[in-house]
Amino acid sequence: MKRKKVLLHYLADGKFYSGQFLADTLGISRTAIWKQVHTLKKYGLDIYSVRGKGYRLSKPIELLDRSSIESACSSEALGLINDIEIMFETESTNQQLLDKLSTHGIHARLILAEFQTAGRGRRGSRWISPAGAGICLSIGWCFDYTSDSLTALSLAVGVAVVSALKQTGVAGVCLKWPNDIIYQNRKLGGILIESRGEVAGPSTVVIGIGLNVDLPEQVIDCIGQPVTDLARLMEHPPSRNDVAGTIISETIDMLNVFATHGFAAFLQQWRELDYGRGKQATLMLSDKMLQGRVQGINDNGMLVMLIEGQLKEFSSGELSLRIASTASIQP
Amino acid sequence: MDIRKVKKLIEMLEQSGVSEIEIHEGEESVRISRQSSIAPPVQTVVQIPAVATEQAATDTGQVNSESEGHVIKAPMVGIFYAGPSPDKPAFVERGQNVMKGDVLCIIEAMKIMNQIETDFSGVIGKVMVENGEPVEYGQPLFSIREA
Repeated sequence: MKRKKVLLHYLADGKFYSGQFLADTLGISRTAIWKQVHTLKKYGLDIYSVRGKGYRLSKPIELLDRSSIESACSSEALGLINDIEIMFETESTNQQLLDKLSTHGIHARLILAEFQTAGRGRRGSRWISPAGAGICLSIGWCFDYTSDSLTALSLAVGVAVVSALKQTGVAGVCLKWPNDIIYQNRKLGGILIESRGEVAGPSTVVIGIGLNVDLPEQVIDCIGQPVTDLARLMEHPPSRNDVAGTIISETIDMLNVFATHGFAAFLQQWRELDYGRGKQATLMLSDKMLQGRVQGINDNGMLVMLIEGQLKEFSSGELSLRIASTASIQP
Repeated sequence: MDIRKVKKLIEMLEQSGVSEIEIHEGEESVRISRQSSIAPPVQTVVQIPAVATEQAATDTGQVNSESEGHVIKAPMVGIFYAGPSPDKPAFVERGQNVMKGDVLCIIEAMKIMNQIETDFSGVIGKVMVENGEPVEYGQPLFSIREA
């Protein structure tokens, strides 16, 4: 693991490094270097080799760096954070925090990973995050109250992420209920929150945030829905560490406000970022599919849809928007 | 009943999220409902249909008062999942021993996966909900007998 990390630190600048140089530096054979490079390729890194020149990445990548991340955080947020851990690889940053839960408190503990081997989406779907291509971040937070009052937290996290993106110069990002991070109907990021607690006790949440920074072409093609990343949105995308730090800062500030004021403090902002409002959509529930028009959200963050002339509210379901029919929205 | 009081009640109802209110005062009673077919006074706005919450069929017959032991109820509205992901087995099954703090199920609400812990140690008596079924607040999910 260490060797792969050191190897990647050299290759990150996108320049050629000879197999002999890398072998000498890492104190292993050239064959061993070849094997390590092979593993890094499997992690989704586009490394190629040229005879007589060595190995290089097709383009430089910015590796995660604690001090750069911290310098993008507000002093208030830094004051509230207990720990930031940066991992080279992990199954899933959410799982990593949940596993710690049995032995440690995880309040205000953060984990970022360069690469996730089993990143999770909703209900077993995968979150694909090749090395260096995105931001995989999990934040642990404890609330004094029960989980039922936390449901709209899911939406508030979305507001925090979009506002962090705006601060780093990424404009035009919206939210699709409850918290998909969307740029022109393409998914730029996603949020998965897992909570644990007794029925009537305080609850601990692990907030997982995934953001696409610079996905390889072949990864974009194999994801089953339209996706985009910061590198495709902008000619000069912001630094990965800057974006990570700003997302952390905004999310911690949000959690602090949410703990006392709840979702009411974020309702208006969410509504301004609502990508679905007025659009025709299909809502997939566990046992049926409903079609109608998205009206927005109610004060508790529940989705409101107009279905066969009736307004209905939902707290779960997968929403997919039909963008082609937006032209027919009433004024 | 004083007509001004009724008028006040109607105004209160209009400003609230309540769809119907019934007041009893001695022998008199009045019921005011937003879902009635009373036409709005001015016909310029399209009448907004009353909001109907998607309701799960709560089978109250499941909760009989025979000595089921401790009943774990849904702490929120959402979708009930018996296991951590569709390809994994259920957290608990009938007859299984559980300790306080063990995870019994997941209830998903607004994409938050709430792992529900038991506050009671014992043996799982009944699993009262099917995987993937919507649950209402307070709906019984499991019964746990003392071991």
